[in-house]
Amino acid sequence: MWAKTTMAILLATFAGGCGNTPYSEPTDKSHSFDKRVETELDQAIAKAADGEYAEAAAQFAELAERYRQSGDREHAAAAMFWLGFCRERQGRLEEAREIYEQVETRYPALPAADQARRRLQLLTEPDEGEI
Amino acid sequence: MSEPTERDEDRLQRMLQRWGAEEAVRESRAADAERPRKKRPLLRWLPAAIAAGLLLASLVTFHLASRRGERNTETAGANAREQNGRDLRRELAALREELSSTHAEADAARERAERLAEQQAAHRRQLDELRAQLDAADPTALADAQREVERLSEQLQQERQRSEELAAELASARRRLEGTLDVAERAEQLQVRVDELAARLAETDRELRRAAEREKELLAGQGDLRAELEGLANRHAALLRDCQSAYLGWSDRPVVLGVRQSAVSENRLLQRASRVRQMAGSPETAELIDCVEVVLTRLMMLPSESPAAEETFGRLLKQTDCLARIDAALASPAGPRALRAWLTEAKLVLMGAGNVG
Repeated sequence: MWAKTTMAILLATFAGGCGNTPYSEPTDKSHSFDKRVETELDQAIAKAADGEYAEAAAQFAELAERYRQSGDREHAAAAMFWLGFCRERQGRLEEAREIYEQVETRYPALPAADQARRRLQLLTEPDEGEI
Repeated sequence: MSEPTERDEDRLQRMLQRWGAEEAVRESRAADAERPRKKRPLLRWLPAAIAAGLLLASLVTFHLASRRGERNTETAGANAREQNGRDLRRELAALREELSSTHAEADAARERAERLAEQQAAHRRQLDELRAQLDAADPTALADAQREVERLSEQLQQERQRSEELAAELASARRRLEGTLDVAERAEQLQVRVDELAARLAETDRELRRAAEREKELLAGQGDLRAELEGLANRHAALLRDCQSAYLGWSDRPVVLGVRQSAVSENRLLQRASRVRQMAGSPETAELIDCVEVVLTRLMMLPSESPAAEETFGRLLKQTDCLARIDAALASPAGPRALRAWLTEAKLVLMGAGNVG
């Protein structure tokens, strides 16, 4: 009985970690705020703000992979979105579009998806409204 | 000595038996040597004569053969020398050809150098003539031309202004046609208000700078001026806070991230960023717009009511030095109106975040 329960817990943990189980996205778009993780993201974002897009992109790619593996979907989505943003700024628009679409498809209810949608829209139809 | 006797023969036989054939022969020769020779002069000299003849014949043969050999060697040497001579002559001819072609190239190079020198001299003459013309040019004519250029640039500026006005009118008409008059009017009113605020801010900035300059001139002894400066700074800060409250529609303190996020969304700051960027007149301004866009995007991705998020955002703002760079850009009166308005709005949104600004 105990052995079965332990096995079930292990399987559930492994499957969750690998992202194989269906994930119910939070519907209220609430954020979880992990100060350490946010600081990591901010270091890369500061690089992007300074125009060092290649370096920032490398950091975002590494962070996205790490967060994805640890099951932190919200921050994985954010890191992926910023990776797309850097690619867009580097002029690699097709790559940026692909990454935004991935963010939108994989994490539709997270804040990063809103931003990805907005950037996709700008890529598809540049804003023509009032400046 | 007598002839060998039978006794001697027997002795020989015995010795052969005793010592073997070789010893016997040695003994026999010794015995022969002991025996006296017969006097037979012809037979005695015949072998010597034959040997001498054979020796002479071999000497003659050897001499003839060596003469023939020398002749053959001499012929071969002569052929080799002749061949070497031919080769040398060929090489000499090739070297002569090479020398003559080198001479020809050197002549051609010399001619080219002479031509170049002539061209250089001609260019130098032209340059001198041009310098002389420039020296002789009428300074008043230059000044007239300068004035004409200035007049034309002013005219161009006016034309540009007129076309901008026309574009504004057209945009307004289009909005009316599209039936979005209310939204457009609100945006226009907001724009007017932002412009007024920006103008007031710029005016206050200028006042502040003037006061700072005055303070530098009058140094520390003038306490009134210092008080005036402080007053101006306070007025400036208060005015900015009022502007921010008006812009964000939020009078409570402190301003939470959610209010800033709403202002960014409602005023479409991120949507307008790409078009504003096209107006940037310098790489520095373009970089500033990029930086502000990154910061605003980050703001939109943070939880709206978290003190920790507010603090993190403030740190990012400080790290990027965004507000100071916006102030520096707004301090210069140059730049399109829409760009200045966008920067002012961004400043109002970001001001005070994480107790920065």
